[in-house]
Amino acid sequence: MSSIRRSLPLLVCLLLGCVLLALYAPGGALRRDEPPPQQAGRSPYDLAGSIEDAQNRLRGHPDDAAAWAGLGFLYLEQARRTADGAYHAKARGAFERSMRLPTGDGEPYIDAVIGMGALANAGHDFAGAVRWAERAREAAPYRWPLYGVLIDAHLELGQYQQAESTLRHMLDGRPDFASFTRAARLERVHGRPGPARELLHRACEIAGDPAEYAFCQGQLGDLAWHTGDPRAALTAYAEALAADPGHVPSQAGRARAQAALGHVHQARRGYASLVARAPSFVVEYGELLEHLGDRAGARRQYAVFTAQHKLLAAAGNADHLAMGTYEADHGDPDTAVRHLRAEWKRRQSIEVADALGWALHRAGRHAEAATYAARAERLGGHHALFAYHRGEIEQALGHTASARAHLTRALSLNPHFSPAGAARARELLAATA
Amino acid sequence: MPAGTAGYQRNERQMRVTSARSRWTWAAAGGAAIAMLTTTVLLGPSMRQGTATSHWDAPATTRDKQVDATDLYAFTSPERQDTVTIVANYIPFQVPNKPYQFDTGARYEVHIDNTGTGRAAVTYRWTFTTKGLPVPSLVRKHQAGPADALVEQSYTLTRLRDGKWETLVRDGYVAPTDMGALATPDYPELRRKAVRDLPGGGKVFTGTAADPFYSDNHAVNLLRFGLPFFPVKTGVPLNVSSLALQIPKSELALGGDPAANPVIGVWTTASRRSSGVLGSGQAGFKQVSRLGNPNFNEVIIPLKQRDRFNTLRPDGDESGGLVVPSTLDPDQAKVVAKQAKVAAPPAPRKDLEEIYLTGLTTRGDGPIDRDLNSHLLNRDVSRIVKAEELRLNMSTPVAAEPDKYGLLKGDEQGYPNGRRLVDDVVTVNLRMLLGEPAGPGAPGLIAEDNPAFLYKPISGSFPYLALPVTAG
Repeated sequence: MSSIRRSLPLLVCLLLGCVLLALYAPGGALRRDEPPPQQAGRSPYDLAGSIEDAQNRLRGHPDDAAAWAGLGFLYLEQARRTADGAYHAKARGAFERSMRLPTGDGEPYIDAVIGMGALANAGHDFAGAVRWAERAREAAPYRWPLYGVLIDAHLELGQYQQAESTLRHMLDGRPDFASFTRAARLERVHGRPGPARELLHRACEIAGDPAEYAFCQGQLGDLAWHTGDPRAALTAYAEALAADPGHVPSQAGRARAQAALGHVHQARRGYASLVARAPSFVVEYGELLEHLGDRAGARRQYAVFTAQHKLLAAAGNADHLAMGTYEADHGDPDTAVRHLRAEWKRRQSIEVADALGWALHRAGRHAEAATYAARAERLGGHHALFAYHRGEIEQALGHTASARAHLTRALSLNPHFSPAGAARARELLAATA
Repeated sequence: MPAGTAGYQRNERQMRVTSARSRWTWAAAGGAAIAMLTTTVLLGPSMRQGTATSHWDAPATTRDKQVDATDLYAFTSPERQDTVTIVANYIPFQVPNKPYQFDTGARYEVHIDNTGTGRAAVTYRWTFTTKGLPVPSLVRKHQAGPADALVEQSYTLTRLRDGKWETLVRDGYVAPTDMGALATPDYPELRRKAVRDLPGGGKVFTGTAADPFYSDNHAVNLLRFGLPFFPVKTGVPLNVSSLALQIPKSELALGGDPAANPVIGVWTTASRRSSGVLGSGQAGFKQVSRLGNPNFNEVIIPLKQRDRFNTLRPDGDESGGLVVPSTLDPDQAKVVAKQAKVAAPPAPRKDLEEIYLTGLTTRGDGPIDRDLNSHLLNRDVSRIVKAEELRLNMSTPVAAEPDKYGLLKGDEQGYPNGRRLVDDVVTVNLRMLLGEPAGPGAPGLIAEDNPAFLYKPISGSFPYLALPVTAG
């Protein structure tokens, strides 16, 4: 059924194309020395079709550095939409091929260099992404997309100052979808949901295709969620999914918000169909099941996570943040600390500081945990979950007043931040009242 | 990849040629795509390698269509020869029946330089307001949905002249796309409603129209060689959003005297309001798009500088260190010549400088020995700067039978003397890049009897543009 639903846009597009063809085909106008036109009647937003066109183009012009770079970006976008890592390898191949080909100025084709940076970000090699983007900046400081790569990498690395100054430069040079969405992210990191919302609304207005529109509506949904408004979040996710039914983060957000609003069956259904496509949400799903008392169901989801991450680690792409976070809550806290210390060496971001603090707390090292939790907050982590973590840590240290303050803050930021966490925060507050 | 600028996409457009064979190619491609999707769904995640996930996941590429100027036209209006028609087209690749909007955070402008200084003597500026709730621009897949509801916009048109802003149109009607009899009943009437008279005898049209762009497939392929591959597909007729003016020549000419000062330079820009961040920084308007001569940015300006060109003004071209050297020695000439197996003239290309930066005149040092469209031909101009503008001599008589190759076939009223809707500018630019009209060039490269034609015929009166293409 779902495959039919997915193919529907294509079928409609096919049909539309036929109609247009019937109406406008001049007939017999194809020139003999031309390759047959590849593109009649296709939606301009058809990613798979665009990939095919690029491949066709490259069959005739294998030395076209620009077409190889373009193909690399199409693969990258396909990887983003399908969560299929095989496309990363294809993207890398295309970018590398592009960079080997001669260009007018004797330097590697600039978009391929930027593409390598984007690819590094996608593979969590954020330091590598900075190197590629800096290389691109040296060669072509006016090629604005490179700054998007650079800002993303700085933010993941916890280099918020650099991210901010780069962003200012980008906004001064090219105010567009890429710079507005990143500015919104920085505003959110610094606990300024109002400006973040305004920027996202502007980004939505200038979105260039359904995927871009879904992305910024999804971001608006996340923003509403994190400010404790699951209803507004649900509206935004619905808007995102109307544009792009396959937008995974919005599917997850919708299920999360439904659970918060008590629509448990809808939420379970949503998660169940979501994790079949995007295994990265299995832990969250498992936590909901566990909260609902379905321990066996939860264990099954956790097993999927463990298997998935064993594969990733074996392929050399260990996601220490995800693994550490999982181990801290559902596995072995000492293992969690090991993962997260490794991650902390690579990057000192708010997310990693919080996760490491939490893992240390779970492993019984509350004092050390407190320094990381405080650091996450100092860096600007206006996040209910982080506040809750800090409250628990303070509680473990016997700082009841401080614990209460953090727990209260967590619940006021977002009373639904996690099914189990929010309940536990309320219990703690009641117990220490 | 990164789009958002005037021309990357331009070269992706091709003359639409179809045949029984292409129909099958296309159907097979669609089938393959469906098969691929289905397979993915059936196999599920167990077949996947998976990707790392805990990071922010923004789209890798963006298409900034709303500020993407795709084409600029300027010509003497054939049926009102005391006026000039200027059409600036934005938001390319509009799917039939889909609503698209102008960016309400942007200023769209058409500039006229009548002194040859590279500075605008007259500027027309459109700003837009969306009526009712803010609804997203474009962006829906093919399923019908609430957001496909008609979105109406209105505009304000102001004119800057002699340092003074004057509002010409308030609450103007923007023609939406033709969404069928339910949403947009009696569409021709909507089109009529969107054509307005301006004070002083001019007219304005703002809204969706069938994209008049066309070119020769082979020329497009050659010229785009070595240019970014853009993942937007065309091949069916699509729509654009047009800003069209018909203005008395006396309003545009230096000193109000088109007989004495007939040459104007035209370009269009879009500027978008930026944003501060974390409570500080500038939120002023930044120019993000610039278009004068067709293809200039993507053919003459090196790839790495194209986004920069979009931020520049013509009065800085001469000393800016980018436009003049790029014109004198365009990388693309060598690339195209190699690909086409012909010779391009050696640098410095004073001929291209004359075509794109000064206009054709015998009074300068350019090799094209012909008085056509330089500001030096204006009586009251004695010195000009080098600046990239689409130059039009408003006194050139309207050709009885326009030739799509314009000047190259002796039709002085055609491109590069302004640009008419019927001019095949891609072929003309390609041939000029290879040396015409200063030298012999490679005129035979593109067979002149190619069936390149407009998708929908233009009409005989302002705004000339065909009604929007519809899906059925």
